[in-house]
Amino acid sequence: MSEEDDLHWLNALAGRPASGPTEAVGQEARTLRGLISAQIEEDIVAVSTMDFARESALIARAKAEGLLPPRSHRPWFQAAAGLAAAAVLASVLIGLYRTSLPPSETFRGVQDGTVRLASKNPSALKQQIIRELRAAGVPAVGYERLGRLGVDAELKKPISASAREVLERHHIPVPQDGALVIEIDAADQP
Amino acid sequence: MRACHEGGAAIERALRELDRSFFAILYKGGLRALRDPDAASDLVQETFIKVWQRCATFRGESELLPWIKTILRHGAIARLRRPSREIAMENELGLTDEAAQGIAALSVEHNPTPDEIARQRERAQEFREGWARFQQAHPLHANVLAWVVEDGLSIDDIAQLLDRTPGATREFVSQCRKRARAHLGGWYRLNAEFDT
Repeated sequence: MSEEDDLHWLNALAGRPASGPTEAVGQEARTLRGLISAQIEEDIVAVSTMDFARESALIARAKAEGLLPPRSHRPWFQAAAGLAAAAVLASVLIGLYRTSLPPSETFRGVQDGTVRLASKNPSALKQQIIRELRAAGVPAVGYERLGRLGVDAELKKPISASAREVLERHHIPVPQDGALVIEIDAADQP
Repeated sequence: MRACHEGGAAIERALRELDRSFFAILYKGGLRALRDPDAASDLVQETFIKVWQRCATFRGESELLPWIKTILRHGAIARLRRPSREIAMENELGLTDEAAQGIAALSVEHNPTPDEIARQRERAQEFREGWARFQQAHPLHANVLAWVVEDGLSIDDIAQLLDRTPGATREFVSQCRKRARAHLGGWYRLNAEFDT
């Protein structure tokens, strides 16, 4: 068995045209080639093309090998601070949203220069009107008289646009003399 | 391969694409080489990692799959390789008696007969069993022969794959041939019986 024989055998096994000292060597290799080839075909196994668990394992390994940058992990207190800030921001936005909504109130008219409003929550409405008027630069105070809640305010002329906006929001007519008196009844009262 | 230079998220996408495109074919090759599903799966994963570690060296002058297969085979060889010396197995004539008898039988021209069908099945079964024994005993040698059949590897290709000198590679091929004969002895014997 010479080296030349082996190379001849290898070429025939690889499927290349081979010539050598003995045809027996080439014949043997060609027969083996056919059988090995059939053996390779027999070894076919069913493997899914897409497998998310397999892909995840590959990505995890790539990260472990430093091929992919790891995701940044913030300290817990940074995450907590972020959450708290988000909560505060959310509450502020909700507050602003509620403020911009028309209050759940009913305008009942003006009686003897007093604006009559009704609300399911008179106290909250009183506080809201005071807050809004003050924000518009109008000095306003709240009061409680004979079980009724109200707001007193002095509107200086010319009445500012922001003050008019507050009045319009609550359907309150602009007082001629600038003195604003509001009484708020509970909505279930006549 | 574009993702190789982009890095970051592009690599993650590309790795998933690699897995979807090549896992099945590489797994089959890995399983054939290692004969262990878990080891084969691990080998393929290791191959994908190496592909990305070496992607900058892929010059694109060849097809991607053969390049990846070469990386897989290097990985398989590393797992199969044992620190052992090649031991001559033949007699002073360079052949075992059984192998010499079988090879002689192969060279004899013969015409098929109806009886051959049953005998061919028997021989095919004998080959399968012998090949399985060969793979079990000498996985590296068996795999190199399978790769020669599969992809037509030349002596230079084998030398590169095994990282051996041309002389050592020729000796390795010689040992492949001898060891295959030893384990396929039953098949050679059936051939001899059939042809006499």
